[in-house]
This record gives sequence, structure tokens and C-alpha cells, in this order.
Amino acid sequence: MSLSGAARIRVGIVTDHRNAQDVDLQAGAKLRKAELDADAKLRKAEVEADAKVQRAEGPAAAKVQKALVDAALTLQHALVEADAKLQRAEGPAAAKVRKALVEAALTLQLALVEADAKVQRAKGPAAEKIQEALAEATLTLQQALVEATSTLRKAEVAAAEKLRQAQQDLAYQRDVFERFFALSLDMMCISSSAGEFMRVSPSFDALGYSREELLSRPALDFVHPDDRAVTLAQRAKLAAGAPTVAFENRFHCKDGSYRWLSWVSGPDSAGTMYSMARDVTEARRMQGELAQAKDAADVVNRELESFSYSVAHDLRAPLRSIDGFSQALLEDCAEKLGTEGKRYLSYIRESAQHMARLIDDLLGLSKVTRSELHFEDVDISSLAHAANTRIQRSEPKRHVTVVIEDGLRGVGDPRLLAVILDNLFGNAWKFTGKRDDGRIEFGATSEDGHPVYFVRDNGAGFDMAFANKLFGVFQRLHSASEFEGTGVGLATVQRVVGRHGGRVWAEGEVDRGATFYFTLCETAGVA
Amino acid sequence: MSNGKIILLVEDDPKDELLTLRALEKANIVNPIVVARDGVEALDYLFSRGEYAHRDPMAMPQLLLLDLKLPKLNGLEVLQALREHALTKLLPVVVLTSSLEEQDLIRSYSLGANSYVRKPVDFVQFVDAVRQLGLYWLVLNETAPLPGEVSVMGQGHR
Repeated sequence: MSLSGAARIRVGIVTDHRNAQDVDLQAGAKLRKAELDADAKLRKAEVEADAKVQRAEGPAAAKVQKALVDAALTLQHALVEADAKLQRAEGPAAAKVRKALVEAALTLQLALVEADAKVQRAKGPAAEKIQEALAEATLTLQQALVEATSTLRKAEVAAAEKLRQAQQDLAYQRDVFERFFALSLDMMCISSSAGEFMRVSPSFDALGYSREELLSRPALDFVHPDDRAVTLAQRAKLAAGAPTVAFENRFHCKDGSYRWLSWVSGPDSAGTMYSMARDVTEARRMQGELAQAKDAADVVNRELESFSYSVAHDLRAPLRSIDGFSQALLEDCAEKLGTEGKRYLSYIRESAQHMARLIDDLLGLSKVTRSELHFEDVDISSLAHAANTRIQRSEPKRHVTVVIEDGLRGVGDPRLLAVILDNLFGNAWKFTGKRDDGRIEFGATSEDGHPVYFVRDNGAGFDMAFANKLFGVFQRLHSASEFEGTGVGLATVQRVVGRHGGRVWAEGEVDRGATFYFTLCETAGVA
Repeated sequence: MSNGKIILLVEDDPKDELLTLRALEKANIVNPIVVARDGVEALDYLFSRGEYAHRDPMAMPQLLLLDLKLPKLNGLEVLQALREHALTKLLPVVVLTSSLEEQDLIRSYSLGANSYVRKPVDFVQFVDAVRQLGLYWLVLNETAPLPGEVSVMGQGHR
């Protein structure tokens, strides 16, 4: 538009010149002036035109630039997004990236076409510059596209690798699940919220049904009619979100029998139930047998109780007669008896009294076995002091050095622990009876962190060869003439220690004393 | 050692009875002794029933020596019956028996026995035990008055 303006001015000037030659030579100065004026005008028009071109060129170039920037941004954005998606290793991301790229390329193309059109419209000297800029932009874009394509390809490869890995992991997990599902001894099943089996593990075969049979009927059909109400109640609780733990019901088997199943179940958010059932029929049967055995044992125990009671009352009465009338004979018929007769009668009395002690000791042993245990923290040292006091009182004239380590404690039934210490102190006292320098010591050592209590004496001791006989009922390692006794005491000690989950053993040497060791509560589940 | 008051011995075994009587004698206890040979007879005596129907019900023994293992009614049942009766509620009862079974001890004291003594097998010890029993229950111990005696005592007529 500005160019055509300049041309018109030039044509105008040429016409003026001709007119001047034709009309008046003297008008030469005027012509020159006119010529100069025209020239100035032309220059001015040209400058104006240029300015106009510049003005026209400005907005077009800016638009092209903007279009290019937009296109580049879109591309960048698409690439970033694609990258992020690929990073998450999502399969469809690759497709999206591709789509974004295609879109970006399209946008770019469009921008280029538009820019071209604008350039075409702009024409003039600006066109060249714009063309140049466009060529450069196109090149940059082309490079970016190539780079993006390569990045995309790499991302695609990485995504494919990740996908493959994920698929492999999934396959592995599925495989693990399937293996366990197939191997499980417990019955595993998945059932709908309506209570229909959707899947059952092969362990369900134990019920005798095919899997098709199980899946074709509501699970409740298999439940014992008497257990259906509680099963439904349990299912309602489960649906409300409370997991089922150790719920038991009877399940029908194909052979007509019922098996007791113990269930563990949990629902997912959709209400599908995942359950495991364990056949506890045997366990329940054994429990029943155990209860029966316990009842039987209780009966035996009660019988034993009444037996002991009867022994305590009835076995002693005749002994009293034997002793009492022997004594009466000794008192009333002393002259007729003579020395020998009196000696025999004294033997009868000794025997009667010994038997009475035997009965008492056996009753004690039986009591130790029968009595209920009440465990508590016990000051064992003070039990030792008490045992010592009792034994000293029985023979106040004897002198025995007794050393008791104080502060020793243990867990047990205090009454029965006292039985242990009474017996061990009693033994130590008895077997130091023939020494003037008798010594009894109570203390404790440690073994694997457990206290090992001991009662040691320097008395008659025993031959270790017979150590295994020490704790048997009626077993004695000394003759009655040496040391009297019933042979029940250590058996009682062993019984008590055993009921406390401990051990008892002894070390000794003939004429050099004995040490009795015992522990408490070494094992769990003390009876 | 006698104040003329009766001792009621409840004992079914004649040999034990003989030995107990001998022990009482050895211990110089010369109170009159009545022997009942089962639980029913013991209660008949105390409540003046049956063969003892003509006995003065107010003449209560000073002491009851009670065995536990008895025919018909055992010692614990006798104890329970006489503790339920106003007349015999406060009668001193010494359980004199063979056993030291925990259940016997607990039940005897729960039912209101005043003392529990196990008869030793050794007769010498038995005599010693009976001597101490006699000293305590017949001499040292003051017996609660019978229900009817309270007012009499209150009037100072005794």
C-alpha cells in the first residue's frame, strides 16, 4: 500500500517536469525547486511507507512469535505430562503422550500455516525477516520434535519394562496365592454377601462334595439346621464389619455326617466374604474325652479323699489299742511278765508307734498330691528358720550349728514349701545326730538364672551309688537301728517339688554329709 | 480331780472306750462318766429322750468328749444338733478323735467345737493329753450357766 503511494508521487513529478519544458524555460528555477520538493516529498513518502511497513510487520511477527511460543509450550507441557505418566509406569500413558505429541505437532503446523498466511499478507521487506525467523523456529521445533520423539521412545521402552515387571510381580503373587489356596489344610473360601460360595479351596474336598456342588447351593444349606440361626447372626455381624474369629458350626458332609468347623472371616468393602474354616471335630471330640477323663479323675480323687479319710481314722484306732493295752499289761501285770516279756511288749509298742508314723507320713504324701496349690511370692529363708525352730524344739539339748542364708525368695505354695524345708531340715537334723559338731546350712546357688536352693549337712551322708533310690517311697539307705524313719519324707519332698515344676537331687558321701538341692517353677504348666 | 459333774464320752469302739476310761483314771479324773456308743444315743442322753427319757434334762454334763466316726449319727452331726438347741448350745465339747484331717478340723470348729484333740497312738502321751484336758475343762474353765440358771444366779441363790 505504501509502495503504490510512492509510485503515484513519482508519476506526478514526471508530469510536472514535462509541463515545465513545454510552458516556460524561465520557469527552470521553479522546476528545480519543484523537483527538489518532489524529491523531498518522495523521501518523506518512502519513510512513511517504511514506517507503515514496520507498523504492519510488528503485529504480524508478534503473532507468529506468540503462535510459535504457544506451540512450543504445548509441546513442552505434553512432554512433561507424558514423562510424569510414564514415570508412573501406566500403560496407557504412552498412547496419551503420542496423542499429545500429535496434537502439539498439529498445533505447531497450524501456527506455521497461520504465520505463513500472515507473512504473505504482510509482504514487503519484512517478509524476508519473518521468513528467516520462521525457518529458524521451524528448525528449532523440528529439533525439539526429534528430541521429544526420542524421549518418548525411551519412555515407552521404560514403561514397557515396568509394565512387564509389574505383570511379572502380579503373576508371582497370583501364583503364590494359588499355591497356598491349593495347599491349605484349612478350608478357604470366598463367598458373596448373599452367602453363596464363589470359590472354595481344594481342602473343601474333605466334606465329600465336588466344587460344583458346593458352588451351586447357598452355603447355609450345608450348615446343620440347629446352627443356622447362629450362623446367620454371625454373618450379620460380619456384614456390619466385625470380623469373625473362632465361630464354630456344624457342616454337612456328603456321607451324611457333620463336621465341626471353626471359622475366621472378614469382608471386603464390597461385602465379599473371605473365610477360612478349620475342622475342629477331632479337637472337640478330644475336648469331650478330656472333660470325661477329668470327671473320672475327679471321681478317683474323691475316692482317694475318702480312702485317705478312712485311713486317717480307722487304721490308727487298732494301733492305739495295741499300744494302749501293751502299756496296760506293762503297768498292771509287770511281775508276771518278767524282763523278757516286758522287752517284747516294748517292741510291740515301738512297732505300733512306728506304724502310726508311717500312716501319718503316707497321709501327708497323699495330701501333698491332692491339695490345691496357691502360688505366691514366698520368703523361703523364713520357712527355713521356721523348720529349724521346730526341729530344735524337738530335741532342745542337742547342739547343731545352723546357718541360714536370709532373703531367699521363690514362687510357690507356702504350706507345701514348708513341707519341703521341714523334711530336709528334719533329715539333716537326724543324720547329724551322731556328731558333736553337727552343721546344717541352707542357701542357694544359681543355675541358668534360676535359684537352686540347698540344705547341706555334715552328717552320715550316703553312697552316691544309691542316689537314685533316695526319693522312692519307703526307700531307705539306712537301717532303722542306725536312723529311724519311714522312707516317705524325701518322696514327699519330690512330690512337692514336682508339683512346683522344679527338680530335686542330692549329692553325698558316706560319713561326710549330704546336700539336697531343689528348684521351683522351672517349667511352665505346673500341675 | 472331781466336782461330781458328769463327763459324757461318746465312743463306739469298746477298746477305745476302755483305753479312754483308763487314761482318765490314770490322769486322776474321777468324775462320773457316762458313755454313749453312737450319735443318736448321745443326743438321747443330752435331750432326755429314749432310754434316757427319765433323766433330768437340766442335769447337763460338764464336758462332752466326742469322737467323730460314729454309727448312725457321726460326731459332726451330733455337734450340729446340740449347737442348734438352747440347752446344749454352750456345752463344752472336746472333739477327741483319730484324724488330723483338715476337713475334720475345719468342720468341727465351724460347728462350734470348743477344742480338738487327736488321740495319740502312744498311750503314755494319751494319758498326758487327757490329764491336761481334765485340768483345763474341769478345773480351770468356767462353764456358761444353763438357760434356766441365769435368773437363779441373778438372784444370788446359787
